Amino acid sequence: MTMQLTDLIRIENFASLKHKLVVYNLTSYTEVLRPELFRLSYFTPTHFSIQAPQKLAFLGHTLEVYIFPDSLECRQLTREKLLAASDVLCLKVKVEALHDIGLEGFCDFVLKLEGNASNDYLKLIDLYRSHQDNLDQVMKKCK
Amino acid sequence: MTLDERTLVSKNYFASFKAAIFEPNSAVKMAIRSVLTELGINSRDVYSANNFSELQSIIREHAPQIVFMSDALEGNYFAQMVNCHRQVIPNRLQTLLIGFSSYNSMSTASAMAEDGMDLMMAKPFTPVQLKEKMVNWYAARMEPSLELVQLEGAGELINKGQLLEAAQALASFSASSAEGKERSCFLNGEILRLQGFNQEAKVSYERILSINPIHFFSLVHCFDLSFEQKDYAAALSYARRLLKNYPINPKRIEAFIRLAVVTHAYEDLLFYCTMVDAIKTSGEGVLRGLAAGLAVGAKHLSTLEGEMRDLKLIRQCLLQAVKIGQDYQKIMHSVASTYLDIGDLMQVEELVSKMMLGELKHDYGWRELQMSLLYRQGEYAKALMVGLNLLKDRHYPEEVFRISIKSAVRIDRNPDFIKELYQDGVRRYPTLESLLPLVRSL
Repeated sequence: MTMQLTDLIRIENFASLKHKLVVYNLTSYTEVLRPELFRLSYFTPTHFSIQAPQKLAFLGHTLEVYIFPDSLECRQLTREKLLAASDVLCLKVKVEALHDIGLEGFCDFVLKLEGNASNDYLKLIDLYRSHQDNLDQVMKKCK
Repeated sequence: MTLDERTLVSKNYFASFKAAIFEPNSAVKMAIRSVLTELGINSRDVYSANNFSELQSIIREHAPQIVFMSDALEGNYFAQMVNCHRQVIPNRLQTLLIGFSSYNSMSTASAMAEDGMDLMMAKPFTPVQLKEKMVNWYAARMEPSLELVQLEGAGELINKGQLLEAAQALASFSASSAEGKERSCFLNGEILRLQGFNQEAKVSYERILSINPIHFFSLVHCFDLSFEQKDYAAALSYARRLLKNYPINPKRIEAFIRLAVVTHAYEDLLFYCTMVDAIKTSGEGVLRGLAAGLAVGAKHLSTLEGEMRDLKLIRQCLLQAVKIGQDYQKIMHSVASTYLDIGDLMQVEELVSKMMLGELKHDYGWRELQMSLLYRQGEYAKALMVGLNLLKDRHYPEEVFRISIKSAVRIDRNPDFIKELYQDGVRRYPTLESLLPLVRSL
């Protein structure tokens, strides 16, 4: 039988590397537990940036940010469940900057890690770096 | 050399550079600006755009060598920006176009490459990695080889539209590397394609493919040209080679589905239906293409007869097209029309009711469909009313006349009225003469 096009389409080509996150504000005791409201923007070993609801926090607030794989079931999330889960990265951060992004109700937060970056956080950065390297290979091959 | 050392060395090189950024996310924009400052680009020479139109204006006014662009907009904006940039800076030796995307899949990278972007940064990213990529990109360009200068020179002439001069430049070019030979062959192919000599261009691309059987843009252009020329067997062969070696560009899914239909690979449509869940995180454009392809596939299948007419497959395709394409009225119209063809009137009614709630209630296409549905449902009076309103609005397709005349006969309208409608219709469409026996019988 002649090979069809669909025999050659790899579904994993469409797979994105994704993590979800939710936040608990330790200063104002508010929590935002809807992952769809957050987007990760960039990482450095000392800071990371997220797009999040404006009401989340103000400058100087301390937050607990939970970052977890996209595959984790998100229904009826609670802080206790997140703290107990094995594949959830919990980071304590301070809000260092806020930027308006022209999207009503949302802004960019620049968050500074408290203390040194944990191994798990550095592993997360590395995961995205090596994924980026794979994308670079695709771009290079296509040139 | 470490990255910091290489950055230091390149500072003089970047001192006269300009950059433009279109990125709605302020934190990302600031991270980019910070990288540019580290590389030695003056912050006064970094321009920020709030929308695509502004970005184009910045490109035209300031000619920034480096452009960062987010995929915040759906549509073909990357390709448009690349074309705009090439017109402003036709020599690409010092340019760098970087696309940012939250969809960090291989397919997204493939699509960006095809649109002409040089690099892709996926979010979330690390600023250090961005800097590294930029330093690496310019490593060969700070002291370019003679071959690179000559090839970029030919490319510049092509971008300026000076195709004959570009051909002359390439005729006197002697490649010193395999990549150089490949590139000059490719540029020759581009010249022929831009001149409209498609067959000759294909020969040129095939020449490259004989050296490098998986040369990406040669395969892409050969596929596109074959598809345009309706040489579907050839298109299929190029598509296979592309898919075997590269991630699928989501924008091609629609074309691949059409290819499945015209090459009678109908079982492939089922596969495309199952792809829906896998690709729904790849962005709206992808899903629109898939929905459109499934709608087209189903439409074609509905025209087949006998055993070839697989109603189960048709319905599967239509169902998936509705599931993912419900925001696209043209796709929904095609789906509704196919449901009508296969007699699934309830589905048609559901779609028509839903789509005609808003502005589309005045749309001629949807009103025609509504008229056809009413007729099929036996609601002849209502069908006639919709038809007459369309004619009153000076919308005169043959089908409107046909259904209006048949409806009028069914509800025993005044024979003179029917005859006048018939005369009006047959004046425009002689094929309506097939209704003459019906009109004569009044």
